[in-house]
Amino acid sequence: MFDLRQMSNPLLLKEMVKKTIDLGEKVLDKTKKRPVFMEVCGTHTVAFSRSGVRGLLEGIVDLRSGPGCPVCVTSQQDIDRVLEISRIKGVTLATFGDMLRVPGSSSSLEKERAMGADIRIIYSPLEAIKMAAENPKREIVLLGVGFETTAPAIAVTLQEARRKKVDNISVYSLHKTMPNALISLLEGKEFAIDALLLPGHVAAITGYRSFDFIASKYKIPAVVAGFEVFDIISAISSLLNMLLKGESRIENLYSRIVTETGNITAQKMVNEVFEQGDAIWRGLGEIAGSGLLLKSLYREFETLVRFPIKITEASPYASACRCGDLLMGKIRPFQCNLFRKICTPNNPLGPCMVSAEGACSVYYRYDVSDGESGYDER
Amino acid sequence: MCLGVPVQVMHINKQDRAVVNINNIEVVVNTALVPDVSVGDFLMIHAGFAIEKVSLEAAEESIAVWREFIKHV
Ligand code: SF4
Repeated sequence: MFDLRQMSNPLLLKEMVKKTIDLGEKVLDKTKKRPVFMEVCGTHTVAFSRSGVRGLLEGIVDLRSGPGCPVCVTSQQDIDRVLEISRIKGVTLATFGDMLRVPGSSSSLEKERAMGADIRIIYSPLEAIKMAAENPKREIVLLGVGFETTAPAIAVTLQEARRKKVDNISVYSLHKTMPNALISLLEGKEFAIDALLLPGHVAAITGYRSFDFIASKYKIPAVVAGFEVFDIISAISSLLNMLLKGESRIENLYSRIVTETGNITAQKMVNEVFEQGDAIWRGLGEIAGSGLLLKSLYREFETLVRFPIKITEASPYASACRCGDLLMGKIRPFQCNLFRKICTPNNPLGPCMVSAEGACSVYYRYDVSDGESGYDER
Repeated sequence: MCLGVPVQVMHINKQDRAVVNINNIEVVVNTALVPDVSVGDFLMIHAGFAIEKVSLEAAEESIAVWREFIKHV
């Protein structure tokens, strides 16, 4: 049986880096500028920084983060709504841990919890069903934050809630879907990205063909890639190769998990529970058809139907925090004046410094200057 | 939320539940999204759910392509 640890073979990785740098230098010779690539997915941001590959390839490629950190792209008004929900008497809010410290206009879930709100961190949405069964007098609100990869898990959870006749559970669906967000990005006047590294686990659900439009309509090369060091070096190499040859294709480098059409079972579950709706993204604004709302059959599980919520005022930090620019690949964390000086993981001013997949928190943890290369000055 | 690393199925618990090994700890994951999971399979996990099986053949093939490239180009 093949041993997956082969993917971490240092001798192989070393040769791959060498070949990739050779290729990058050829692209530099040809275009006279470092190409700008976007790693759309937050897990890729972590992989590049933690492995050191971002710094290693810094001379040949400018790697920017994109809108693929679900906590980061959640809009300020949605965060404020979540805070309002957490204050409702009798409500227990079940959320993935990353949401806890995201600053809203005047508070955060962490602060609300300290003031008495019942907020529980879950790892899997199924835990919310157990919570609902054990606390029949409370209303469990499951915070649905995530992309195409998370939505099937929430769909299965709601199907199970219905089957088990658990009625004190609802979902506040802030789910977002990638294709229309990428279209909005690609259509933007300021878009200046040469190639895209697509989210591997979103593609595992949707199939890599769902990203065809990037190459066919927008003529941008793109790869679907996994998260091992092997995968991310392969991704950069493949994109450089396409740039050198002047090609734009969608290449699937994650064939061990991703197929052309994706996970049909998961797609069916999602389609049974959700329908496309509009969503507001931090940075990108409102994008039609980029959200997932509960279908009428499941409307009884919609939090906003049970509890109509008013929205509070906008954040005083909204103008200073540059998360929005970051999520569109316009800047890197170093270019935010607050990065590391005022905004730190202990005092996060925006979600990009809170989420484990947020570019600011990732760069804070892993990307340091060696004092000579000026890595964090570019 | 994205574990990003494959985990191996140790045993199947009941319908839609598999026990996997994560850093030598046995964790139960839901397999409703991935029919036909067997003991020994590698799975990719997200939010407590298996989202796909890992094809070892495809992984081997990806490495073979690189080895060829390094040797001959
Ligand atoms: S460093 Fe802080 S303030 Fe600046 S963009 Fe990142 S999260 Fe926002």
